[in-house]
Amino acid sequence: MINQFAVTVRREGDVAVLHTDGYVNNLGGEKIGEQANALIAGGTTKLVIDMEKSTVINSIGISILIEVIEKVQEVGGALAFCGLTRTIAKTFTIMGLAQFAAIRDTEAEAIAALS
Amino acid sequence: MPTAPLTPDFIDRLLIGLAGLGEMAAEITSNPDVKGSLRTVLRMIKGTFGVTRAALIHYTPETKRLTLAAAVGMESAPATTTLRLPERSMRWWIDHDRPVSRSEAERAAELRPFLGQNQDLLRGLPEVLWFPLVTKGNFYGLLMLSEGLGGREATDTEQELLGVIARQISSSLYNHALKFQLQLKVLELQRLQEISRLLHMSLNRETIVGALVENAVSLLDARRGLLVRFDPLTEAYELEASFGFPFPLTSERFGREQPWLDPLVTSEEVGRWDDPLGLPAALDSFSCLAVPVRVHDQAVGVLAVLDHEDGMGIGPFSDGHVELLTSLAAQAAASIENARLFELATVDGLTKLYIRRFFEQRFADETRRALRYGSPLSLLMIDIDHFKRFNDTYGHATGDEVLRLVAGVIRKTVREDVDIPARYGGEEMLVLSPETDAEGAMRLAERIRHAIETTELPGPEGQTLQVTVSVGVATLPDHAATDEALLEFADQALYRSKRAGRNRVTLFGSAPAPQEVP
Repeated sequence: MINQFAVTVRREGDVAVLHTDGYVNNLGGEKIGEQANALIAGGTTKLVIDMEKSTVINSIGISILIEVIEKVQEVGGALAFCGLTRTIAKTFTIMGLAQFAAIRDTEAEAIAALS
Repeated sequence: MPTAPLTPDFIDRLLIGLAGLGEMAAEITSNPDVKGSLRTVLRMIKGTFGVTRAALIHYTPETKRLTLAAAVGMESAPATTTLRLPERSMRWWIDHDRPVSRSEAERAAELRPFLGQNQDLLRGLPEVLWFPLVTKGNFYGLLMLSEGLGGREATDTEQELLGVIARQISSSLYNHALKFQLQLKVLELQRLQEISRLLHMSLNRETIVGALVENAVSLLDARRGLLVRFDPLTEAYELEASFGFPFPLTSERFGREQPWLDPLVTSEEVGRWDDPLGLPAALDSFSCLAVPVRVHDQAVGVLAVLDHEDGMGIGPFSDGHVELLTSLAAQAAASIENARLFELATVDGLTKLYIRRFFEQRFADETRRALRYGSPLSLLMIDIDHFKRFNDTYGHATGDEVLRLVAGVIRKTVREDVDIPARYGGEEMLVLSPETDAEGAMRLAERIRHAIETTELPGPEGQTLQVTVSVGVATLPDHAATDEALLEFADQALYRSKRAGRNRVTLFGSAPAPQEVP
């Protein structure tokens, strides 16, 4: 099932929560990117990406997440991650993503970090 | 490689880098679409090392330009970015096959022309770290990276890893260039084979050399071409064919002395010029590639192509072009030699008309064809009036001149590659005219008779010699059903022309025609 990827969006006030499910590679990353771009274009500036069901990510997936962070920053918004495996959390920290996006354990904590 | 403390953070960073490196290597080696693969690799670099912008500019040696091949994180980049790269700057990149920072590049005197000429375009490209893409001494472009997220600079270890990727990319571009060159070579060889086939189909030297020059110009992307005949005995040159000149390149304009071609015919040299001053002014060209056409180790001509179109205007010819033109000249030499042997075997040396044996073979073939398809076939038998008098009065040399004059008029008057003119023996000549009825044959005979009568031949003592001919005409199937009968009846008609006073044409079975001016 590693080739199947889904992303769903749930609204929580002014925050949009993206739930990802599957391998965040170029296809998965692009789906996240498309959803995030559509939300930003629609005026949403606070995003949470919940990756509880995504345990694997590759470099292209990360590059697309960096682009999402850059887009959110361009509109003066904020982004937080939650549900990350230890490896992904560590990778994000080493790569410098944690400086621009909060990393929290739970969705509630991530939403709280944006308010 | 600088030593870094082996902290857990360092090790984790190294592992991420190595994992990314593995992905990139797999992408580069497995994706046949080089351009698509480059964009994917740039995204992987971004995702592995956290750089915000990355670009790859690809070098084209023919144009000496760098073109944006792929970019990430630069959505506002123009679709086409082309930078000029002076030769000196390119050499510097080849010699500095390692990451170079923008500030280091600015300190290098060799890069100043590159940075200066492309100032505005470079401003839109990542310029923190540049990796030259170099393989086997060939420069393929630059991998250009910006700073990392939040302005983070790449560590020495990351630079080492990025250097590995740059080498992988340049290897891939090198392989791609080789594959492209191979495909081009295959296409060139296919065309060379087609041209050779075309040349071998003809036994006519004029047709062969015309086709040779035209195809050489097209094969080598040249603007003009020429073939010069070389006579090893007199060491004189004669322009035999030319193509693509915007002015008439005549033998007079070209001249018989061509010292620039001497080294080519005296040795096996190939001539290459990229300076108009090295070429004859009559050619009005900038670059030239010329190879000798050799038959049995003897140069019999020079094949030259001029003004190579290199996409940016006129440029020099390459080593590949030398190989191609040399192959073409070798193929052409065989065809030209075949044509010479064919001429030697079938054409009379004095009159340049076909010899009797060749004529008889063609006569039999054409008769069979005419009978099978029910088409007319006419035969003209031509005899020079009082030929013996020319020989007896002025000598054999004048007699030969008379034969040349009559044969020359016949050759010019008949249809090329259709009618078959031949020297039948002594001063008697024949013209076989396929698909021609009696009326058409009589018109042709009268044109020949009139042309000879009105052509003046200077005699040995300055006088004008009056040459006339008598002609007999017979046609199949009107008069004869076999080639022997046709020949016999044409001979009888000729006899009647002679009996009626000479200098006239007679159709078999009719009264000799009065002299007419067509």
